[in-house]
Amino acid sequence: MRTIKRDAPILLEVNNLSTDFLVAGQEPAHALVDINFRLREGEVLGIVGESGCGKTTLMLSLMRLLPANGRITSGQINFMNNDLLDLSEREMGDVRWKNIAMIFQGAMNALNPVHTVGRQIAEAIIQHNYITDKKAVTDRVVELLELVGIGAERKDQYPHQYSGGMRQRAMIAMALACNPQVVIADEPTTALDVMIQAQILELLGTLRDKLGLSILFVTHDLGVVAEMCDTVLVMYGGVTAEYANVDTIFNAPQHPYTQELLRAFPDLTKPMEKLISIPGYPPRLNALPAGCRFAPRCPHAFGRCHVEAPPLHGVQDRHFASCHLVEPESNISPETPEFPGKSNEL
Amino acid sequence: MSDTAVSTTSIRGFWRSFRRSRMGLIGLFMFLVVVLMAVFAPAIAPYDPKEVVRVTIDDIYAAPSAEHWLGTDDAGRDVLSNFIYGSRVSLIVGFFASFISIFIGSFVGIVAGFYGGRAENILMRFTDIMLVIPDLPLAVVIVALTKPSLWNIIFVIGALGWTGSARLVRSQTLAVKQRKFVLRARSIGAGNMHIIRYHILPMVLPLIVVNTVLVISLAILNESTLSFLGLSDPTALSWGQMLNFAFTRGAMSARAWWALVMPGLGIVWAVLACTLLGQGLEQVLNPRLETHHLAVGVQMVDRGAEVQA
Repeated sequence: MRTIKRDAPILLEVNNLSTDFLVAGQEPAHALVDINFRLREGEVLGIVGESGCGKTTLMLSLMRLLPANGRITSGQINFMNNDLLDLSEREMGDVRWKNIAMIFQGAMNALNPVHTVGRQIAEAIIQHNYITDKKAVTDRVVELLELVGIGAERKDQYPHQYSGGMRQRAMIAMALACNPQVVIADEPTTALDVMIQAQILELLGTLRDKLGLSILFVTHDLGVVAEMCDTVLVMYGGVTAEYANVDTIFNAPQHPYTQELLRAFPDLTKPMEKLISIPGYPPRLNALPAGCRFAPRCPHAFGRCHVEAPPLHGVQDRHFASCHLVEPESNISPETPEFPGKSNEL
Repeated sequence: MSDTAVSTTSIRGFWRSFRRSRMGLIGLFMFLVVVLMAVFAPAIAPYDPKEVVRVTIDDIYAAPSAEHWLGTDDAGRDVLSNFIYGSRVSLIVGFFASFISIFIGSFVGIVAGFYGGRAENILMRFTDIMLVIPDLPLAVVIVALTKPSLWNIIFVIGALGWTGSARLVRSQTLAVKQRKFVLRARSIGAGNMHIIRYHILPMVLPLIVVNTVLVISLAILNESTLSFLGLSDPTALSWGQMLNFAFTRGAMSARAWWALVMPGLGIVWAVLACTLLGQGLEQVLNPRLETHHLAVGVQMVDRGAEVQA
């Protein structure tokens, strides 16, 4: 397995990011609360969680593309020493796609059915004046398509003439159009069969190595996480449940939610193990439990869990979990070490 | 054709789909007949309606004869020639008024649907007000206050007929706006104008095209109504005006049915043509109907054996 350098430069640093959705006549729904992570150069960070736990909201917050009622209420998104939340809409428009590009969930919907695929890839290039010469734009489109394994002769075809896997490849080509440093892949393999899924993952892996991309990989497929990711952020109901590198998440998970999630996933080495399903449902954002958001479904919940929301505790070097059970015993002051902190101890 | 939102990508493909709609074909045929009649009016018409004729009492409301196939009107002029020339005015009004309507309607609909918020509120409430006011009395008032010229008629009809298109275009814009490729375009960094031009308009265009054809028929009807009420340019002879003259100048008591029936038939013909054509276009342009999957027909079974019908 490939390991990234622990001291590769940090590209994207998210500190205490919180996002609300305004609801008419009601308290705003807290869709994201204090999300922290760091993305290093060449790193693949997996973001895992059930449907509705805020994965897509997090991605859209990073791009500042939330729907009209979404509000980022606190935090910083530091990208190459700039806080993206301080940028004007115009500067942000420049960052999108040139620096941070996105592979959208459901390629069929993200492609306009009335334009050829080639033209839609060119759209991004032209929008950013990345290349202005017409001939060069066409060359670049061909180059991008070939990079993702689509023949140049298919650039003048329409999305409905593409197969599902090809559409997803075209979306990847589109994301790479302006040579971004960070690619956000929002469930790029959902709705594809396993063979195509494997091809797409392999393609993303090659592109990462070839172009030195950092990838934010949103998925709810733990198999994909194990295969692709270097670090994992497990989300539950809009908060961080656990954040660690991929080996730790799979071998020594600390948060009960992560443990349950893994037990709900088949393990080839233990074929006789019974699969469980976590009882209950993820919390509704307008009816959150008082304490820990996972407490109502947690097998280890005790009294304190139902009244007090646990902060994110540092378990080990670069391993964080938000659970009262992992609270360091020696911790005299209840203050947890500032996450991830400016002191570079991560 | 590559710029328009047809599910078929070429004019030939378009025609192949359109051919499958029998109603559309009939409409197209009827439409072409009227258009050709209007264009080649001087060549087809046996008499020039503007020509000064010396009239005797026998020429007024003369029954159809070899000389006048459809008889004569109250001024002793040939009804067939009037009818052929009248198609010109009706079509001109129909086309231009509907273009004005569609332009206003599409603009209002796209702006309201795309921008939403206060702009939408103001525009759509204004549309509602326009929708509630009965068109005909308002048109009568406006035409009566202005000079009854052909262009005034066109503007009045055009300025009153856009409400339906505006609502239609708005609802389609709202639907398209939610599609993910609009979000993608925005994340690429595209501005509003780019998104409207490149992503919204092509998706709304089929609706606009179909609606234009349907509005033409409405405009022709409106023009006929205004003319029948004597509110049109008296020098521009249209079908509605022929009806007006026949009605007010005693065609009924003279039992001159030919002076009434022909212009009435002409109006019905043109309106029916537009409606059928609109229906046919809708079937082809509506991407949901996906006609191209059915376009091959029985030849799709290509295993060599005889195919049962």
